[in-house]
Amino acid sequence: MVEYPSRAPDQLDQIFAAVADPTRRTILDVLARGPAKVTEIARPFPVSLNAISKHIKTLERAGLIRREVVGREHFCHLEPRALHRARSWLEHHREFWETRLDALERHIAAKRKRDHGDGRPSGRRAHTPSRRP
Amino acid sequence: MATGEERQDMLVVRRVIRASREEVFAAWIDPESMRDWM
Repeated sequence: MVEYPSRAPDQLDQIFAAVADPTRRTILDVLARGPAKVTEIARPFPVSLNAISKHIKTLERAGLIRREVVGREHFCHLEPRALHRARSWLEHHREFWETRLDALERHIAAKRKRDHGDGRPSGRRAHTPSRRP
Repeated sequence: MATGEERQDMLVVRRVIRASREEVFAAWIDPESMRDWM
């Protein structure tokens, strides 16, 4: 049996909260192309520089970006390690449930074969998915 | 992944199983079955 922590670690909370906002995701997309000044990041957005600064602070707190001060300019850099942590967490849960749900499907097929001697779904019509999510 | 009605701090895993709802429900709640697949 798997033991789940009562809640996700704080950094993961901050990472997922940070990437839940579309403006912050766009900022990460911009920084994926390379470091940029805060004023450059803010330019395409129809919001104030102050609002973008708040978004940048949220991304910084989550460890997703790093700010470098050069003279009067503030350069932002993407910090991919934080995203890797989020991806690892998601991947762990995806694998866990994929394995269990594969086993559930096999279990149902085996039980059906034992009960009815065929592999066809019993009861109401089964779903026939065109794709697996 | 999550709809507006779901809690925001909830991870939702969706999977379509090639079986009837009754078969899935029975396997999901039966402790003996769970030992096999969980």
